[in-house]
Amino acid sequence: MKYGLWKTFITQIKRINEAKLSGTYLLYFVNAIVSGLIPVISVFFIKIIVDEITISNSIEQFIWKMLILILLSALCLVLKSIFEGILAGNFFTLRQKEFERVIRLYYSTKYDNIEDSLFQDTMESATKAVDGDDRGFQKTYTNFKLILNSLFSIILFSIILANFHIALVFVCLFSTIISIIINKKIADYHKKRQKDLGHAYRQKQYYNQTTSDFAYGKDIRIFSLKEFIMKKYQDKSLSYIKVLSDLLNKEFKYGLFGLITLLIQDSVAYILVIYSAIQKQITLSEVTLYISSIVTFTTILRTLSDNMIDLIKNLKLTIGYFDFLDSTNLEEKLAFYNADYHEGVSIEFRNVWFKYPNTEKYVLKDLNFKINAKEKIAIVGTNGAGKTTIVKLICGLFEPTRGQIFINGIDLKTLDKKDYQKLISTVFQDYDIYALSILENVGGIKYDRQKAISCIENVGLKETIESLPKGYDTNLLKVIDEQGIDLSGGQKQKLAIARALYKNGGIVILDEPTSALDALAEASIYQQFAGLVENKTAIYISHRLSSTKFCDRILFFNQNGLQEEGSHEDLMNQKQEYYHMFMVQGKYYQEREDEDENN
Amino acid sequence: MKIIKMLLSFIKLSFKEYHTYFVVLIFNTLVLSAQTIFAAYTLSLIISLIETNNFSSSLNYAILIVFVEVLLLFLKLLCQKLLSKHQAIMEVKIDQLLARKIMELPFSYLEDPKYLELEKSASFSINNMGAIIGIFNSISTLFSNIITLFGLLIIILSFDYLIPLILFGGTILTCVVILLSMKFQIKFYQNLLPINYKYGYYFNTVISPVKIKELKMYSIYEILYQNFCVYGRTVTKSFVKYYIKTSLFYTLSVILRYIQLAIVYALMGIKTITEKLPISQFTLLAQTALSFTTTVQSIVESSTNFFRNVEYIKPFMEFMAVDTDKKNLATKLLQSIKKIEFKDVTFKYPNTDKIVLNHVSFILYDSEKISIVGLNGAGKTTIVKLLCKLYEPCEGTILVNDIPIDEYENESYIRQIGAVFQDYKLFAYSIKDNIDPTGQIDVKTICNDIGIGTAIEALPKQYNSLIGKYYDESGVELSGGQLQKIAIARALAKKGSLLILDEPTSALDPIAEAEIYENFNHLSKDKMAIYISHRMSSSIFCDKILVLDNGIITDFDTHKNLMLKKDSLYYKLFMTQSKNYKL
Repeated sequence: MKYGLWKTFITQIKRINEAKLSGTYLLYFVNAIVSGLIPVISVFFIKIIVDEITISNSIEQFIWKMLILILLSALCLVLKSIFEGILAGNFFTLRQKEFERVIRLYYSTKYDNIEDSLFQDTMESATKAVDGDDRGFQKTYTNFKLILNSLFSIILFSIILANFHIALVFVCLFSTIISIIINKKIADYHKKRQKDLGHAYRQKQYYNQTTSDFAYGKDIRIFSLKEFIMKKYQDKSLSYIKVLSDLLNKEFKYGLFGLITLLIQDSVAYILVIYSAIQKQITLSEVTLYISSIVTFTTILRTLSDNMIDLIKNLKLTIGYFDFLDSTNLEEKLAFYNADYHEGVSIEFRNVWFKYPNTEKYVLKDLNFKINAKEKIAIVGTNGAGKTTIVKLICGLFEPTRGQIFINGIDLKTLDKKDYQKLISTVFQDYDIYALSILENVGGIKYDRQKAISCIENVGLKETIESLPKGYDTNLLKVIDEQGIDLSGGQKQKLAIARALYKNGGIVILDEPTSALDALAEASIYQQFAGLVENKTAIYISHRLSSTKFCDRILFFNQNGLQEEGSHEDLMNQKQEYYHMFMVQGKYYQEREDEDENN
Repeated sequence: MKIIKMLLSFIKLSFKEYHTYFVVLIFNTLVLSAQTIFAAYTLSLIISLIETNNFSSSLNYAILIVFVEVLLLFLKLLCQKLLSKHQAIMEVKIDQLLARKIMELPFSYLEDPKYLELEKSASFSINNMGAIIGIFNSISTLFSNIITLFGLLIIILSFDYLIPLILFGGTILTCVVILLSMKFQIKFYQNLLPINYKYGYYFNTVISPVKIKELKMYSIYEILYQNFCVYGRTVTKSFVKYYIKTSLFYTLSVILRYIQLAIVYALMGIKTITEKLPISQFTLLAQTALSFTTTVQSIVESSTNFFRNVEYIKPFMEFMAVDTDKKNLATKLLQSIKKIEFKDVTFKYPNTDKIVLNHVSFILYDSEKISIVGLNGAGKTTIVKLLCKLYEPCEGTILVNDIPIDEYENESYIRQIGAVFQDYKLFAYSIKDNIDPTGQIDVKTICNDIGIGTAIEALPKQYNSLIGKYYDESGVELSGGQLQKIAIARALAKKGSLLILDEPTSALDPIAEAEIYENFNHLSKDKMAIYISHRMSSSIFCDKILVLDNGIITDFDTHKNLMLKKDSLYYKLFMTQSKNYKL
């Protein structure tokens, strides 16, 4: 379903009701009356006072009338400011709700989208509509409020001015239309140059971000890059300013046209009023009324036109956002996996082809292999052989482009992904540690304390953690809790492994689990792990070969896919690529041993 | 008081950076004030024209009025244009000031969470909140309002003395309201900042494209999402409260304003009636009084922005006040590194208690290749950081060519060291500029030597290709291994006499790794070289191995000798790994 301006607007108005903020509708209306009245009262103010002075000359009457007017406009202003305070809060709440909507969508969308740069780009531009209070979604509500306010005033002023001379209304309307056209022209030119401006801005901003990223500090110092980078920064800043100047000059030129229409409007108005006054067609008090009315009327018309243009701009931004919400496909609900989650299962890839969304190159081509239930498998291979892709496929994050994956003989496509993923305990290569307590990091929500502690013990972190002042309840990272603890790379990795153990899924996958560990820690992790995953199907991914000895079978991959399959001994005997890789890596160790033996 | 002092030093700082902006700003302020004051005059001018009853001269004057009006509008338009341009320049200047400051900080600050946090909030408020322009805009609005007030006051004073007194009294009361609201606002933003920061963490985590696959697997997501919602709602709730509370302050100032107006109008009306003054005079006074209160009101409104922005530039000013690198007054130039000596060096990171290096002493000689080996957290990288002058030892000295390193002039010292760190960074500009910023070195030969030349030459723009797409669409995405090789090329291009490789091959597969190591000895031939790696096989290439255990050097010897010590850590590490490669 496509969104147009109107539909977007209506949807936004409906959102108010959905958020149970229907009082907002009434506030809109009442606020428009109250705010719309304020300029009208202030225009009448001086007229009535002048009337009193010139005609009745009664001090008492004058004071009474004035007090009433003052009270009335003070009341309106007070009400307006309270209403607008409440409205601003409501608008903010509405935007916050959209934020939650986006986050939920992001979590429940098909994983394909997450790794699709096209999706990420779409999302980035779509969510621009909700990421600030000065544009898009939230600003639409503010625009609408201001438009209602101005409309009400405009009606009242048109009546007042038409009463004097209908020409005045037309002159004012005419100059407003001209100013709308000029604004439109400026906006069009902006749009035309937006790409240049955005590009120049991004280039400038790169240096801003890079220099303020402390992670770059070491290299900048060691390679004495300060002046070099500052020079590039300055160059890019200048080209940004250049584009911006062009834009501003154009805007200025258009603005001059607006002045001419204003010149005409005010000349006509003043001459008309002065002429009528001198001809005694209107009184002095009416002069004050009409002159102030013209000034205010023009201001309000401009406000209206500015807000209309802004509203359209903001709605256009929101259209992209709503389209994004509607068009994003969610993970489907499918049949549940009806078996014990904690038992090892068999995994079979049958003629699996795979390429990442929006790419041309197949990462996996006609891949076939079977992992038996409770088997321990090492997937080994060179960089870029698609090892991590296989993990993502097994995790059900992606579906094969062609071919099938069977889990205990059931086609993975037919299983509900959320349900199926309960079966999997995995440590990804780019695992993360979160700013939560240690136990929460291991056990997630509603964790079982005893179980989480025993998992931590199993990966050998017990002593480290128990030596902390708050023990297992220590918060990690310093973002949320200033007393939070930063773990070392090795400790983090162990914690991630404890997390996988806690989940106790039937398939255990470790993707490059020991890259941050030293030799001793690596060996101990493997040894401990072997005991812990006895009843599971375990898959180790590595481009190191040290893990292979613990495994029943090795799958060796290179750029051309699965090359060799078998136990370590089998593959070594075949003297193919696995053998070659093993020899390259082990060369120096073996030479040493020869020497040792010679000694 | 502290705030005013900070504000003044901010203005001083930015004035030094770019005067022109201030000229434009002042011009703009004057134009805005002139416009308001003239507008207050317009109505009474017209009425006095009518009171003359002479149409043709009135017509001329009326046209003059319109002309002045349009002239003022023209000036305003011009100011807007100039202001936008110079504003942008000012922003860039301040950004650059911050960038330079960060690059001049002592390195140890960059690893100190305190400064990290400070820098984050400083650049957050500048980049995301537009604090710099915000502060200037609000100062300029404030000033133009104050000038307007004076102008209006002078007009009123020429007619009456009582009215200014009332307006003055009203203004003081309004100021009290402003102060109260300011206090409230400052407190609000102070309280909000940390909450917002935490909210930002949860938000960025649950929306991270990298983390979501893990979060789909574990129920940790539920906690993060819950916390995201809780913090989001806390932020919302406090904003809702904030809006209502500020509207109450606003209301209070509105009431004050109308009380003033009522009294002023009453006085003027009575005076006009009793003294039979011309209507034009009354309208002038009425308009002026109205403008006066409107201006006071707009000060109230702009003060909100003003104090918020003051709050925002606070972290920026705090950051700018941080001491930068002590000026190194040493003048000794280092020609080449012939000998490195650590003499009883002890080190712990600032604000921590853990001793990372404990009385470490060792000597490296010309063109030696050594490998530093040890468990995680043994202090391997720390040795390198000390040697690069990124930190200073807490005790002991580091000597290069028998002279303490702090006696060398920094530039000449660092020029001698080429390093590839574990977390090396490349920049989004061209490959050539990355490898050699000086533009004087034959980049091609170096790249061919480490086996990345052909890959680079296959790119459409070859050595001029930009790294990554962030900077420009035409950039190229290179693999982890290729990037690492470029980082190594950069270290080699420096032509220093010491090379440092800290875990340089972790992103590479075994074959690529072996290739790098075998090449490296050839590439570093006459240079001193230090390797750090978990792969024990790499140490075999080295002349000597420095074994670190918990900050203490347990061994410093050749591979062959170390293998004879069967109880050493090195032997244990080596055998653990080599076991995997037994045939």
